[in-house]
Amino acid sequence: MIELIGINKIYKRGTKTFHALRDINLHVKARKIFGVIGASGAGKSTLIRTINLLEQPSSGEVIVNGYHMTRLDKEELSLMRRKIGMIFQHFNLLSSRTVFQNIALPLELENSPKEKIHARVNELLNLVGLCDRAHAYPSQLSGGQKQRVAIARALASSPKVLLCDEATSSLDPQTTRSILSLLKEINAQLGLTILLITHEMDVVKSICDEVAIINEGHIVEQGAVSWFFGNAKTDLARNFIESTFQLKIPEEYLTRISSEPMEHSFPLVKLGFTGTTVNKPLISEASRIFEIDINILSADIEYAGGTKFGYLLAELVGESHQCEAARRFFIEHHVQLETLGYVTND
Amino acid sequence: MVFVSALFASTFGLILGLALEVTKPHQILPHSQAHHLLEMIINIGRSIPFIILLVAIIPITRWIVGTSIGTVAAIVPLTIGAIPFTARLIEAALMELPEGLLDAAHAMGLSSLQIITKVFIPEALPGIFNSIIMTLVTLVNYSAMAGTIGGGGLGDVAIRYGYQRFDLKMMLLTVLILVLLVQLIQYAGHYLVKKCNHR
Repeated sequence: MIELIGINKIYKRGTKTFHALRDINLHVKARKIFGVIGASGAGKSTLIRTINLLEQPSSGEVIVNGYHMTRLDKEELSLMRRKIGMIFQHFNLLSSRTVFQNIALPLELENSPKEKIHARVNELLNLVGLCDRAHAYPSQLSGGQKQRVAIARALASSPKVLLCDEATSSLDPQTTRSILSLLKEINAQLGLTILLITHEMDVVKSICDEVAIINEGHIVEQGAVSWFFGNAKTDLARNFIESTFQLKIPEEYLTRISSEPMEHSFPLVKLGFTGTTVNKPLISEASRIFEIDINILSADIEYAGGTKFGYLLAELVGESHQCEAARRFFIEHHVQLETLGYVTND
Repeated sequence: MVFVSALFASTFGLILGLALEVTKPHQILPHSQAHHLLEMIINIGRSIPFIILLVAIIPITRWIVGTSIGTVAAIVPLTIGAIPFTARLIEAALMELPEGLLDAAHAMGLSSLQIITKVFIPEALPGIFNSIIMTLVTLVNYSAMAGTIGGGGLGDVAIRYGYQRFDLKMMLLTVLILVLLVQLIQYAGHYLVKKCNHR
């Protein structure tokens, strides 16, 4: 549905040139939700803006639904843009228009008859759950509500593609979740292809089918989300993934930890569960087989793309050769194991 | 005299101000030569003291109205003097609009004309009304000077009776009326801005 082939974007500032996008190749399949993640300044905003030509690429092809965007004239581009919806971090609603009028704007451009516009706007208000706020002004709405209006407006002309430029970056976690679930619903109900950019891995985790990581203008790695979280190859990708897991060694353990085993000390391990980990209750099995206690200090385990993955910090309490055997057991069952240190009991 | 001048000045000032803003590099109709030309014209207009402008454009006034004396004639210099001022105010009102609005407008496939009529003007309306009010008040002020070339109006009375004849009472009276007039204009303007401001 969306193809970027050999996209480069170079900004010239006086004598200096800034290479924002370097030879980007991307393919977003129809009806899929594709996420592009990267740190600030990595180029993700520039990337999404080349798709509807808000940024003109310096070289390369942008193909949306079979149309070569860079080869369209002004009028054709205008018409094509109405088939590509876009929502933004700061919503960008017209403050002088009500919710209803904001959503109606794209339809006014098509010179639709009034009744048709009315019907369509009401349909959209229903879809995003804002029927009771139809005549409010944006200044009277919360952030989540504004984004819903923006989504309704973007969908007014029944586009095939929706571009989301950091759409949840200004919203609190709960509102973010509700907006993401609305997008997931729309994708399922309408078969809408969605491309979103974000700096939050959680966004990708919760709704994306595929993900690409961008850094300094390059696409560093990309793949299906279900595969990605367990099998990312590059350090950058792994760092991003790990950054989403909240794992901390509790304070009281930090004072008692050492890097070498000592008398009466027990290993503190970090266990990583990925798509390739054997799907069995490994913790309780290890505890039973090797007669050790596994004291879980911290855990963050989730599902993404249908696969369970996450990390666990635990203290293995038992005889040292049994703990050693347990560690081997985990590794054999494709659990990523890292011994963080040895904790002494006082 | 004042209100008619304000009407013309606002219309032309709006067009000029819009042109000034949309020809900027990151705007909808970027054109650096046109922009620089407009900048130059407006800067020159802003630099000439009104009382000199009054006299300097007498030939133009004669050409348009047929005479250079009287209330109707005064409309010409008043309008021309106010246009650059209004244009700058309108430009400021347009600059206030959030940048993201243009992104959304482009993403929706709006043409340049549609952006001006459906986005810029409605969104900047509070600022535009404010600019018109400021223009009106400034013109009340300028009209006193127009009185020196036989422009008539309250300013003329204030200068002829108050200044030239040293009739303090008359001068104070006309000033008082002018103060009341400006209060009325501000009040009406405030009401208009409030009505259209949904920000």
